[in-house]
Amino acid sequence: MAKQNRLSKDLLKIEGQLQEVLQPISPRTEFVDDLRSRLDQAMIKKTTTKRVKVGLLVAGGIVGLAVMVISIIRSLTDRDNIFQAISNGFARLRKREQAVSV
Amino acid sequence: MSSTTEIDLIGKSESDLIALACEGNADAFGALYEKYLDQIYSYIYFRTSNGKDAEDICSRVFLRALNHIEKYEDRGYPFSAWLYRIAHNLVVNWYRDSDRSDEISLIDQYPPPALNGSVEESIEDKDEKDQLLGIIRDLPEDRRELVFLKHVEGLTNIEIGHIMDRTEGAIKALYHRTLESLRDDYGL
Repeated sequence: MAKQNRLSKDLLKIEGQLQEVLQPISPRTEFVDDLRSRLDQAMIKKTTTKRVKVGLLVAGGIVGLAVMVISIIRSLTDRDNIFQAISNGFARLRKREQAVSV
Repeated sequence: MSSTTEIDLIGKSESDLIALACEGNADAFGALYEKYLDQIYSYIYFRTSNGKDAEDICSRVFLRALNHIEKYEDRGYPFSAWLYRIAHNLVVNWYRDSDRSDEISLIDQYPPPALNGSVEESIEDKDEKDQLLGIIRDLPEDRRELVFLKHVEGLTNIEIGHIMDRTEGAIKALYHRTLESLRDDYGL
């Protein structure tokens, strides 16, 4: 028991020595100011990049939507013409058959 | 970017500052930077024993934190614990890349005068302190890191365990073995 207590006291003493020697270190003032400036610039760049990305995404979405709408309108217009062409074709075919049968 | 002034940030909690920083508020991140810079720098300095490398790694810690702050999750540990994790990983990479696992820089073998150091301490006291610092730097990396986090940074065993990715019990046991090693192997 006494030996255990002595051991604990020894370790406590070492702990105290460590506490006394290990003190925080302050960096150079120039380094602190320089890094702060770099961080501010980095934040501006990060924010700007994010806004540009969002802007491009929105613009891309609008263009994509416009292309889709135009394609739909064109396909509807073409469909009418196709139907007309098909019915004209059938009409010509009937006329030929009638001419042949006569 | 938010136009919050520094006055607006006074009294803001850490979680508020983090939220503002996530939105792109440079002053909010700056407040976090000023709060934790000394701690992180001290930690890196004592692990690298080199002021130049400490500044370089410290810069990378905060730049990385700024670029990834949206990924920070509040898991019950202070924001500093996240910064320490980043610092720990970068120092490990530094050791690996520069192959300095057993090497101590001769340029900055001993740190500059401590913040609270006495200018008039005796030469004998200084020699004893220098000797103890040299012994600490001879310790294996994990023990050295533990001693620094405990005594320089004043972190709890739970916080240290989170940084070093170990349980609280493992940290307690490691610390006890470290003190015993200092007593038995180095004669303190």
